[in-house]
Amino acid sequence: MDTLLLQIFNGLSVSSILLLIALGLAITFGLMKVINMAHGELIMIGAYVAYVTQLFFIKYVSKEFFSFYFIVAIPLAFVVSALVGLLLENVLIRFLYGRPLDSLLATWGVSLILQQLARNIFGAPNVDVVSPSWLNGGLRITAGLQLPYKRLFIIAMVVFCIAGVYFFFYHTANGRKIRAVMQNREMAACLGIPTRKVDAYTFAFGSGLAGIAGCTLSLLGSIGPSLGTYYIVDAFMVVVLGGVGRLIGTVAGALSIGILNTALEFGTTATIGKVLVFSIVIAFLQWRPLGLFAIRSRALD
Amino acid sequence: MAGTILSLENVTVDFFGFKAINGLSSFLNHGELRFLIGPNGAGKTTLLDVICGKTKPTSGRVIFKDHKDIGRHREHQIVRLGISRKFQTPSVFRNLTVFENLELAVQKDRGVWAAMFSPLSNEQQEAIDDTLVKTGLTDQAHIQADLLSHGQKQWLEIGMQLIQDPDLLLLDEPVAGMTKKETEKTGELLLEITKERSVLVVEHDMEFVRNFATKVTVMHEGKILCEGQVDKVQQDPRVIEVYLGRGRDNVKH
Amino acid sequence: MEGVSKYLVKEKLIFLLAAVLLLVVAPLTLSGFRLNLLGKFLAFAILALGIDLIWGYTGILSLGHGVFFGLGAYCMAMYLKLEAAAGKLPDFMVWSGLNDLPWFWEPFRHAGFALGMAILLPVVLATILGFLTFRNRIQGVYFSILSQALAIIFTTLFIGQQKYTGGTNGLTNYKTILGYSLSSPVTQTVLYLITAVTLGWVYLLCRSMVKTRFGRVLMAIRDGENRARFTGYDPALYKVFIYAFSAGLAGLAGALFVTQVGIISPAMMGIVPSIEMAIWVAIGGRGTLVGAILGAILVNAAKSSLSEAFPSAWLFFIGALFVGVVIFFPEGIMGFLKSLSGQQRGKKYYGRLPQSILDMTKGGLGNGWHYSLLGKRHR
Repeated sequence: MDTLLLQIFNGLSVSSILLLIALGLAITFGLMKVINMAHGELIMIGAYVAYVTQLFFIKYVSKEFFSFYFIVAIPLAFVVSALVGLLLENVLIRFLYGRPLDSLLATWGVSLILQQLARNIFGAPNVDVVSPSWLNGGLRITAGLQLPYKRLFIIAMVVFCIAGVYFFFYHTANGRKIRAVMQNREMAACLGIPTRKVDAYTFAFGSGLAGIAGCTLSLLGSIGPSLGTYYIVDAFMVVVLGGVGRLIGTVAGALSIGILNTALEFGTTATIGKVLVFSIVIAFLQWRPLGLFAIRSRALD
Repeated sequence: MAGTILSLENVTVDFFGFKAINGLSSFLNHGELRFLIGPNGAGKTTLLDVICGKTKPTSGRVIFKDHKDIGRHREHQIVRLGISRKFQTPSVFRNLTVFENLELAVQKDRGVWAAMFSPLSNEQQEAIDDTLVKTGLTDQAHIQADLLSHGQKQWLEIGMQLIQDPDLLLLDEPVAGMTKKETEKTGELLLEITKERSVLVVEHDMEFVRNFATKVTVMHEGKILCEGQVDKVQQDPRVIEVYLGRGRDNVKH
Repeated sequence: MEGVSKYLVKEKLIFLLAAVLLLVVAPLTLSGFRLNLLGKFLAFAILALGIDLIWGYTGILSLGHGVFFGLGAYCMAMYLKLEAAAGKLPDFMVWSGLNDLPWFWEPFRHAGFALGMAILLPVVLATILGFLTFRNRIQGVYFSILSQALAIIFTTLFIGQQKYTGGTNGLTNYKTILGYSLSSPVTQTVLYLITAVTLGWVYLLCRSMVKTRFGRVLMAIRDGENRARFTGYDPALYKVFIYAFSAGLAGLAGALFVTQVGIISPAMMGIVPSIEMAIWVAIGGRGTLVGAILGAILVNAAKSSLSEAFPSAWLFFIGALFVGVVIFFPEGIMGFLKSLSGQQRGKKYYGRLPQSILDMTKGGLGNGWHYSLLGKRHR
C-alpha cells in the first residue's frame, strides 16, 4: 500500500514537470500553430544553467551559502531559456507561423544543433548536480511512507508556476491579449494588438517555463545533452491528449499521462507500461479525437 | 417528378447551449428550386451543414428519398446518396487542372481500386466536355484550378456538383463576389439545373432572389419564420421587421 | 500534346541511363565496400519513395517510418540469425538464459516466410494505426506526434524484450543467406543488384500509381480534404491504404538493408532515424518520386563521407540542412533544378495555351505555388 502511494506521489511529481514542459508547447502551438521540437533543448539549457550556477557557487561563493545556489538557478534558468527562445523566435520561428509540419522539421534541426553544441561545451557524458542540502530527506507520513522533500518542492514550485500562468492569462490585460490572438489573429490585429510582439514574448515565456522544468529535472538525476529528448515526446502526447487552447486541458493531460505512466510501470514493466500508455491514448482519441478540452468553433478546419 | 425529396423533422442543432437550429421542420419537393434567406446568424448555413452531414443534428431526423435518417451517415456516404454541396467560399482542388477536378467528380465508383484501374469511359469524357461548355471553362480545361478567377472557381465548383448528377443540390451563396454579368449567368444556370433536380440555395443577394426564386423560406434564430412565394413573403410584416432589425422584442412568434 | 510526349521520351531516357549506371557501371567500377554502401542507399531510396507517397502526395507526415523499416529488417534478420545458428539456439538467446526457441521465431527458418512477414507485418501495423487515427480525422501534426510516439514505443519494446530481440545490440553476426556466404563479394554483388532492380520496379509501380486517378485523389485529399469528402471520396480509406502501402515499402527496404549491412538494432528504428527519413524526401523534393530517390542517396552519401571525417560536424550539418530546406528550398533539389531550367511544375499544360495567357499566369505561379506541408497554407 505504502509503495503504491509513493508511486502515485512520484507520478504526481513527474506529471508536474511534464506539465511545465507541455504548457510551453501548448501555448506556442495554440498561439502560432508552430510545433517546437527544440523545446526539449530549452529544458536541457535550463538544466545546464543549474549545473553552471552550482559550479560558480563552488568556486566563488563561500560554502555556507552553497545550498542557496538552487534558488538563484531557477530564475536564471527561466531568463536564459527565455532569451534563447526569443532569439529562436526572431531568427526562425516567425517564418514558420501556421505551418506546423514545416516548423516541426526545422526546429528538429535546431535541436540537433543545440545538442551538439552542448556536447562540444560540456562534453558528451552526463554530469551531476548536487542537490541543495535543505532538499535532502523527506516528510514522514507513516512508518513506511516518506515523501522526499525534493519532489514536494517540485510539486509546490509547479503549482506556483501554474497559478502564476493562470493569473496572467485570465486576469491581466496582457494575458487577455494573448488569448485574443490565439482565438482570432486577424481580429486581434485589427483591434490594435501588436501580434508580432505578443507572439515573440509568449514564445519566450513558454521557453522560460521549459528552462525551469530543466532546472528542476537536475534534482532528480544526472543531466546530459540529450536530456530533452526523453521528455519531448511525452510532453507532446500531453498536448494531444489535453487538447489545444485551454490551460485546464494541459493540466488534465499532464496528470493523466504522468500518473498513468508511473502506475502502469509499477504494475508491469517500464516498457510494457509505455506501450499501454500509448494504447490508452489512442483508444481515448477514438472517443474524443480533439483531446480532453478543445475549443470548438463553427468554422471549417 | 412529384413528391417529397427531402424532409426535415424537428431538427435541432445545439452548439454548447447555443441553438443554431431550433426544432425546425420543413420539406422540399422533387424538382423544386428553393431559396433560403434570413439575417446573419439565422442558421441557414448550419441547416445546409446538417443536410450534407457536416454537422450532426442534436435531435430530429433528416429524411432523403427513402433513406430514413441520413443525419447519422458520414459525409461521403451522403454525397453518394445524391446530395451535393457547394460551400460559401469556392473550394476546388488548387493543384489539379480544371479537367482533373471534374474528372474526380464525374467518377461514380470512388473506391481505391476503381481509382487505380478504371479509366474514364467515353460517356464520362463527354460529360466532362459538356460541363466545361456549360460552365464556360473549355479554354481553361488544362490549367491549374488555382489560376482561375474567383467567379470561374465558383463555376468550376458548381460544375463539379453538376457532373456528380445529384438529386439534390445545396448551394451556399453561389453568386457572392460575382460581377453582375456572372450573377445573371449563374441564375440562368440554376434554372436549367432545376429542370432535372432539386436545388436549395442560401442567398443574401435579394435582387438575385427576386429574379430567380419562386418559393423562399425565411429563417430567423434557428427557426422558420415563414415560407411561400417571393412577393408574398416580402409583404409579410414579420419578415420586414426581422430584416429591418427593429429588435427582437417586436417580433412575436 | 507534343510537349507531353517529348517529356515522356526524355523521362524514359533518364530511366534507362540510371538503370545502366546502377546495374552495369557501378558494379564494375566501385569497390566492394562502396558498392555495399550504395546498396544500402538504394534500400533507403525504396523507403523514401514510400514516404514521398504519403507525405509529398497525400500531405501526411509520418515520423514513425523507422518502425516499419525496423520490423522488415528484424523479420529478415531473424531468418539470417536462425540460419547462422544452424539448428541451435541463437547466441543472444543462450546468453539471456532461454532454453527453447520462442514459438514465433520458429517459422522464420524459411526465407520466404521472413520476406513475406517483412512486408506484411508493417502493412498490418500501419493499417491498424491508420484506421484508428484517420477514421477519427486525426490529422496534421497530431498524426505526426502519434507516429513519433509509435517509434519510441517500439524502440523501448525492442530494447526491453532482450531475450526475444537481442536488446540494444540488436541482431547481428549472420553467416549465410540461402546457403550462400554473406561475406563473399559475389553474394554481396547479387544482393546489390537485387536491391537496384527492386528500386527500379518500385519506382515504376509508384509512378504508375500516381499517374492514375488514384494519385490525383491523393493530391485532392492533400489540398482539400473536406472538398474530397464532399465529392464523395472517403479520405480515411485512401489514407489508410497509402499509409499501409508505404509501410510495406519501408518493410521491404528494411529487409534489403539488413542483408547488406549485416546488423539491425533498435537505434535504427527510433525517432532520430525516422525523422531523418522525412528529411531525405524534403531535400530531394516532396511530391516528385525522383526527388525522393535522389534525396535518400545524396543525404546518406553526405552522411557517410562527412560523419567518417568529422563526426560532430555531421550533426551541425544535418541540423542546418533541416532548417535550410524548410526555409529556403521547400521544394528541395527537384524544385531547385526546375527553377534553374526555368521549367515550373505544371508547365506541360502551358503548351496548349496562347502566349498572352502564359504571360498573365507566370507571375501567379511563382507565388502561392509552394504548398505547405499540411497541404494548405494557414493565413
